Amino acid sequence: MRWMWIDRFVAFESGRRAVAVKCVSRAEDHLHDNYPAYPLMPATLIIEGMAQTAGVLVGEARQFADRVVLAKVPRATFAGDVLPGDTLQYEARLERIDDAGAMTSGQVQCNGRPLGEIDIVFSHLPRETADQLGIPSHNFVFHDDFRRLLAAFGLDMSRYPTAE
Amino acid sequence: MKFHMVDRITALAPGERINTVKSLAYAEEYLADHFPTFPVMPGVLMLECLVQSAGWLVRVSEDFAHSLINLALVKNVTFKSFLAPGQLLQVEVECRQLESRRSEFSGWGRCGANEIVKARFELRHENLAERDPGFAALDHENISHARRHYALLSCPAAAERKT
Repeated sequence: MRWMWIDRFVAFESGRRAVAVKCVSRAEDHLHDNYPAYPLMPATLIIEGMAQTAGVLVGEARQFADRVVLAKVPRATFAGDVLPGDTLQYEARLERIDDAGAMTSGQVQCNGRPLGEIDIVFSHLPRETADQLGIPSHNFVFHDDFRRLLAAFGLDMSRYPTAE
Repeated sequence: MKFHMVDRITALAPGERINTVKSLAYAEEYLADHFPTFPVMPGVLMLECLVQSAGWLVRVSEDFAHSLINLALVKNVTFKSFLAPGQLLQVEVECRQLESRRSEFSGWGRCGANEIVKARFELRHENLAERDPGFAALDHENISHARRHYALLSCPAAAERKT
């Protein structure tokens, strides 16, 4: 299992809103443990899809200068099952952003129908904490896969400083 | 990759609480992406450890009556620190309410004395046969699989091993 939970962006309005989609495939290993006779997309991975959509929105808003990490999920709701062949759409809105972190609200649709709502609080990892915990000083969060997703959507990635 | 976020059940009191352990291994594939230069357990997978632990508590408390036990609602999940390869997440989940078709929990994940994650959440318990009687065989398959898996996770020899 890789750790990419969005397949492409379909809308990106800097500092405001991002929309990404994820195709759910029977070829994904983890579905077959959840459940062996009835493969379903695990709800926690739906939270991650929203966290990746919203996290990129938060990171881009400050030119990927911050190490943006998940701090809280105040609320997430799930109304139904997500099956192989379904398409999820994550819409994240930036509610607040400052030096300490950011807050986003989000809605998930499955095949165009509402599935749930997921709100997220992100932290911008402070330099002192990072040094104490031996965390890399470069921006390890927004690695090449995310940059490729944004480039594929049409963003000019040469406008942003590199991760190093 | 297996979507198994419980390695061992160390204690279980039906209808009340469960303690489990998840060890984090460098060999787990997703760590290569999260993150390429800083491998740590993704926060939502730590939440999944709590959710799967609660799922075992429900199954044992209701003698494996339901085939699907899914997350319905998450409230106030807080991630406090990172878990790195070579570390153990010690999970404790407390049942706040257990009804036939839903349940409510508080859960914590700790590494030694450090609290790494805490959450409140609700699960939904279902059988596919409630939707269509033709699905009864699928319920049966899921439930037998869960019983076999539980036997592995909870055997006394496993619980007695020091962690």
